[in-house]
Amino acid sequence: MKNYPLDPELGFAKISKMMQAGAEWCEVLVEDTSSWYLIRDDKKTNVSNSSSIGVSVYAVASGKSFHSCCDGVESDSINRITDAVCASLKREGTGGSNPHIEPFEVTSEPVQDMLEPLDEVALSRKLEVAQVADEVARGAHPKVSQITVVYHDLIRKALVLTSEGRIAWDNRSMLELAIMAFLRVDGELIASTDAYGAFSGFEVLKEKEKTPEAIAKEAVRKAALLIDAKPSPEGEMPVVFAPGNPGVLFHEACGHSFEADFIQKGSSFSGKMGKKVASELVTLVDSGRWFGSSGSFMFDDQGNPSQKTTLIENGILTNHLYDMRTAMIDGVKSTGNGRCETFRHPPIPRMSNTYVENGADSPESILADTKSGIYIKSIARGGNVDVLSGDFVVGVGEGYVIENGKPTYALKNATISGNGQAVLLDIDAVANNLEIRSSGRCGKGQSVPTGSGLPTLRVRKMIVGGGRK
Amino acid sequence: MNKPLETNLSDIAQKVLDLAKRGGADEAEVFIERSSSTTVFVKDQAIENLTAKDTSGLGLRVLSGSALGFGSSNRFNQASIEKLVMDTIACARGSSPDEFNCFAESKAPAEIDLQIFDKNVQSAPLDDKIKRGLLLESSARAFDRRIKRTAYIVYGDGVSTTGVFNTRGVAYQFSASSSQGVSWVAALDGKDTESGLAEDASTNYSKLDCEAIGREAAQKAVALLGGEKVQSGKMPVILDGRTVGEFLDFFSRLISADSVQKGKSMLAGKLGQKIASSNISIFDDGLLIGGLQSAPVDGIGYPQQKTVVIENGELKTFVYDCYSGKKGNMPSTGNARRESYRSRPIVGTTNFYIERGETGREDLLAEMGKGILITSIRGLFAGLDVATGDFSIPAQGMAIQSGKADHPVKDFQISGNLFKMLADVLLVGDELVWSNAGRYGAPDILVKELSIAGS
Repeated sequence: MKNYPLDPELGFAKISKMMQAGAEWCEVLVEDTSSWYLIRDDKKTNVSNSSSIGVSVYAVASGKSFHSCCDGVESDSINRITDAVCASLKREGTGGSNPHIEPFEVTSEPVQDMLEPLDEVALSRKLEVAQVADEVARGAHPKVSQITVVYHDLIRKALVLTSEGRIAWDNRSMLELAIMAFLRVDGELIASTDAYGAFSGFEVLKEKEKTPEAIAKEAVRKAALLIDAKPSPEGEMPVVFAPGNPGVLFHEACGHSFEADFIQKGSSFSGKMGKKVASELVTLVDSGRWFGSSGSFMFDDQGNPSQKTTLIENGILTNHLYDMRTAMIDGVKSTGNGRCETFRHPPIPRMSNTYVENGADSPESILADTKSGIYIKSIARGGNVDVLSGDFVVGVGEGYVIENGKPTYALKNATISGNGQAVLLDIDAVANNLEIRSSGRCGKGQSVPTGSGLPTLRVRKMIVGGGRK
Repeated sequence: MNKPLETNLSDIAQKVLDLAKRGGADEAEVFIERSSSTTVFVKDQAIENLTAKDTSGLGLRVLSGSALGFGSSNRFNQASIEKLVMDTIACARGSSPDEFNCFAESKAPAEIDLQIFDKNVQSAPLDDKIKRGLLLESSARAFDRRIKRTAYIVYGDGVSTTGVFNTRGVAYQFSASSSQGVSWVAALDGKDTESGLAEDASTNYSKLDCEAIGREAAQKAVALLGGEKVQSGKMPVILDGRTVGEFLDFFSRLISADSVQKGKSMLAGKLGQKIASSNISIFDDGLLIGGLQSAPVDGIGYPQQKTVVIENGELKTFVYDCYSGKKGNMPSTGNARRESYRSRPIVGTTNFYIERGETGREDLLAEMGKGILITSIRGLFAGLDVATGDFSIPAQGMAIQSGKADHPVKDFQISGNLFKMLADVLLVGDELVWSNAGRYGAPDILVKELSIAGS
């Protein structure tokens, strides 16, 4: 038996109680986290350390969910929150059962390495990361006026016990590095960020594109690019996306609309299962199993192993992203997408790593084939979608104007917007160079790490904005 | 769960401060929070999720020499506290020395009844809270039968007790409450789907009107049905209060003295200059009666206050915490802000608002004559350049002809520069609209012109 933060027997006793009170499915989640947060700003580093442990109880009955949580793992507190959920279940009056629960440990293939466990790495080495990144960034361009570096690592151990008898134990280790570069050019301020999140031990910092030096240089390069950048042409035009980070587009443009809670409320893709919702060149996948991405996990926060779910296959809508509650409403199995930010939040359907599968075109031919338009290498400043209408917007980080099949000058402060349904249908070329980027965090009332990606692809027309002056 | 909050936090705090001193810290500060909250998510007139929870925890800051460490924990037993103290001192020893690091001196807060705690928020029956959630949806559906979808209907409330204590004699503790509703709905007419979002919050349980929130969301969605495209060009616009509030969110970050001192704000060097039209005055009022962000003291125990940030267009001051105040040789304005006990305090605004003017909506429309009333923008942060204030964002609203609402408009972007826009404000509306859980308040503004990119 592993060294669990809570005796499973005690947890299952609470589960039995909730089932007797009317739960159709329920879980107990125990979360133990510890993290280091280093911010180096104005050449000074400040160090923080946080730890927390708490218990969440969560039950589903007739499509409704009831949640409570407490700090610590004291049995008095756990009794109190279980009673609170049971009281709610009884108010609903759905009956109750007395199932015999036979506990069993569920297994799942690891989705990360942890060669150098974050809690065994000396603080001095983390301080060095922040300092090296700062110094490299400051030396990377003569106009650098300020640098902010954030190093964050988190170990999250979660034990999930469910009314099916599942015992799922997940030990996640995540590292995030972000560098924001400020340049001052002729009195004007220019800012750009480069960042990544990885599901890994400390060793990830040795990977060629993920070293503090590489991220520092990239942040400054992106900022410096803006010195001579020009306002974007405006209006409807073809947009070519480079592989990797621009996958955020699909996260916003349609990913949220495929989450089952939104589908059940009537998102822009409701009622379209089995129908054509995208160009036949598009196969869109959500996978919690992309090795090393911070959007991955062995188990979701409801004890279901993460999986690869095909949302769109050759243009046809084939599945949604489910947690337990929404799966029970639709009478299907959870896709293992029930995620919560912490034990203080109820699990809800969330994306993991969302990406477009490879197509047949070559990236070079897609660009060469585009007479005029925009080439987007990275999306910045996030985005936003209205899941009811499907209208979305994302900010362009590194982007270029395409003239006669070639990227020319860099764009300043452009945005692209459109409607998710229209964009999916307007994809007219998909290349074979898929890259995934752990792009950061997604907010949906709760913040969780997600990844996204795509191969080079082209949308026939999107609305480009930002052509001021 | 209606478990009464323990109100005396000072015993725990004193114990932690003593341990920190004994452990080798030169100074220490404890921020403790205990809260209890209820959240009801609603879908199709039924509960989607009900969460009732209590949380508590403490954040510790220690000075070792002039280096600062921060740590937090959600457990108060002896072993956890000892570990927290040890880890936080280790953090300080890893941090850079910085002569401006400091804790608040003890200074008595203003003796005002801020009216930020209403015991009814905690004592109201759960049934009543669930009804409020249901009402956020039913009132929207009742407003117009074209309201057929709801994306996010949530009622939430909570009470909290916060304490700040340090080794310089700061020892304050206060309770606050909040009750808020959000209604996000869509109107469908067979051709179009348009959504409307409304929210409101109050420190007082009975002052929140969930029926009105639902109605407002519905009204906004229905008004946008049948939207037409707009011709590109420059034209006058009126931004409604909620839209202006989104810009204020961005603007509030630029007046942080910390950002200014570190050269991250474009407002550096602009103190005393006119940066907005004469009819714009902006306040940060940490002592607003009944304000959601009001408190006697800030996140490090320094008294909150009312600060004039922009007066008749002139930038009067930035907002400071003790650190940036010491660095800039200015008194703190009581703006050390913490999201929770888990976060380090940073400089941030409290109840931040543009002072209302004297012109009603109808008179604003009449004054504009021809132009666009903007009632919704999307993804401001995606389309706003932090360094320059240039923005370009999708928007929706009403085309105005001869001073009257003519027809809804959509599929266009508005672009401009935040400061040019502030300088171009011709008139300010007479009603203050609070958004973002009471953090930003703004009236309608009539702007001389913005670029509209349509068809």
